[in-house]
Order: sequence, then C-alpha cells, then structure tokens
Amino acid sequence: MAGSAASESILFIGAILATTAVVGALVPVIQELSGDLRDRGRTTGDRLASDISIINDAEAMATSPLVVYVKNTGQTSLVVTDFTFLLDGQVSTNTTYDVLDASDDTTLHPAQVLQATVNDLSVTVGDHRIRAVAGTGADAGLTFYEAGP
Amino acid sequence: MGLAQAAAFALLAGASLFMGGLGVNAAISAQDEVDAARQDAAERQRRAVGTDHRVDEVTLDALAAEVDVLATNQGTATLQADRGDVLIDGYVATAYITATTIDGATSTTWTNGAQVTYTLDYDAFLEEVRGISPILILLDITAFVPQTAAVATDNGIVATWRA
Repeated sequence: MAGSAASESILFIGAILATTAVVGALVPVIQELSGDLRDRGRTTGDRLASDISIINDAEAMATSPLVVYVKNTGQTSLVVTDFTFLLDGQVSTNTTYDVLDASDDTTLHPAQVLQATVNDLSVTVGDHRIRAVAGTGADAGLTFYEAGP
Repeated sequence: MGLAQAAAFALLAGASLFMGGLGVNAAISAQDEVDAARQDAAERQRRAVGTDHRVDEVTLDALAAEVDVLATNQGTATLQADRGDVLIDGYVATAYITATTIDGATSTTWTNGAQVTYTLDYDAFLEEVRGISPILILLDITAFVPQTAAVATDNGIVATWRA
C-alpha cells in the first residue's frame, strides 16, 4: 500500500516535470510565432496604409536633371532613403532628396512632398516613364514627353 | 497511477489552451491591423474616384510679386485645401503659398462647388526655386508670367492650367 503511494507520487512528480519541460520548450516557440504573426499583420497593415503619388505637371517637367515630386498620400510616414526611382525601367543609384517645407529630410510624413533629383539618368527627347517605389512597396508612376531644349 | 495521469493530462490541456490562446490573440490583432488598413485603403480609393477639380484662373499682379491660383472642387470628394500643393511652371511652390478659402470652403473642408485661392509669393518663389533675381523680374515682368500652374489635391490628383 505504502509502496503503491510512493510509486504514484513518483509518477505524479515525473508527469509534472515532463509537462513543465514540454510547456517550457513550447511556450517560447509559440510566443515567437505569435510575435511574427502580429508583425506580419502590422507590416501588411502598413503596406495597405501607405500610398504615394507623383504630382509633377507632366507637361512642365524639370528634366535636366530630372526632378520628381512625390507626395505621401497615405496614412504612414515613409523613410526617404528607402525610396527607389526608375526611369524607363532603369534604377537610379544617385538620387538626392529634399522634403519640401520641412527641416527633416529623412522622413516623409503624410501630406508632405519629397523632391527627388535623379542625377544619374538623362532624359532624352521622346516619351518616358518615371516610377517611384517606397520602402513599403507603395508605388506611383508618371508618363511624360520630353520635347528637348 | 490514475491521479498522476489525470494531473499530467490537466496540465497539458491547460498549457495547450494557453498556447492556443496566445496564437488566437496574435491572429486577431494581426487581422484587426489588416482590416483597419484595408478600410483606410478603400476610403482612399473612394476619395480618389470622387476627386475632380480644376484650376480656373492664374493671375499675376502688376509688380509680379504675387500670383493667385484659383481652383474649384467639382468632384464629390471633400478635399483639404491646406494639404494641397501648387506647381508653377513645373516647380512645387507650396512653401510660398497661402490658401484662402471662399464660397463656404474651409481649409480642411473643401467641398463640391467651393473655390480656393492659392496666393503665391512670386518674388520669393522665383528667387529661391528658379534662382531668378527680383530685379530681373521688374525689368521684364512679361517674361516671368507663369505658363503653367497645377494644383495637386491632398490625395495627389493633379489638375493643370496653361496660359
């Protein structure tokens, strides 16, 4: 009788220890997965909430060098250095940025306008397409005609 | 033996419920974020479809010190005049602009049919944006009459005017 109680106690303690070990191993994994899921939701939300527009006057473009005006028409602030500019499918690797009417040129807040000067791609006579892509994936494009000097 | 099994089973069930709860909570909050953003995106689309405005008139004063750009909201979307931008001859002039709302519009509620005048400090604009001295402007005002003006709404839709 006493032996049975002792063995049951040992099994009971063993079961608790085993359960604790399993739970201890699984909880961090589940927490990490939950965190990832939340982050994914936030990222998707940010992507949907971000939006940009190119507001250049297509018939009066400054093209030497090419100046692109990008307005943040979404709800989230965008990181200026994460922007990519493409002229006729070619990526610019030398673009300078100025957030107009703002002292901070690193963040483009909602309703602000970014002046991007594309220094390394020249605009020849003819039709062109400029595309701006923000770090969140929001993008905007504009087709314009360069008539020459 | 029975007690140990029952205890282990209860603990495992409790732990499973806890972990399941964590997962469900994370899924719900992620879905909430996405739903809110989706609604916002749909609202932006709706506003974009309803946005239609025109630039009626661009006037330069006698000393070429000021340019007035008059615009009318002719769409169904209510716009924000103070969040619009003005381009003169292709250059954004927003930093030199003052928005004056008329016909019942306010700076944040620019409704259908209402008009807004954007007044531009043209001297400052030419000097800083185009690098043109005000003295040159006075010598030949006609050379500096704006040829194009554009108003971009707060949602980024552009209407243009040409001389």
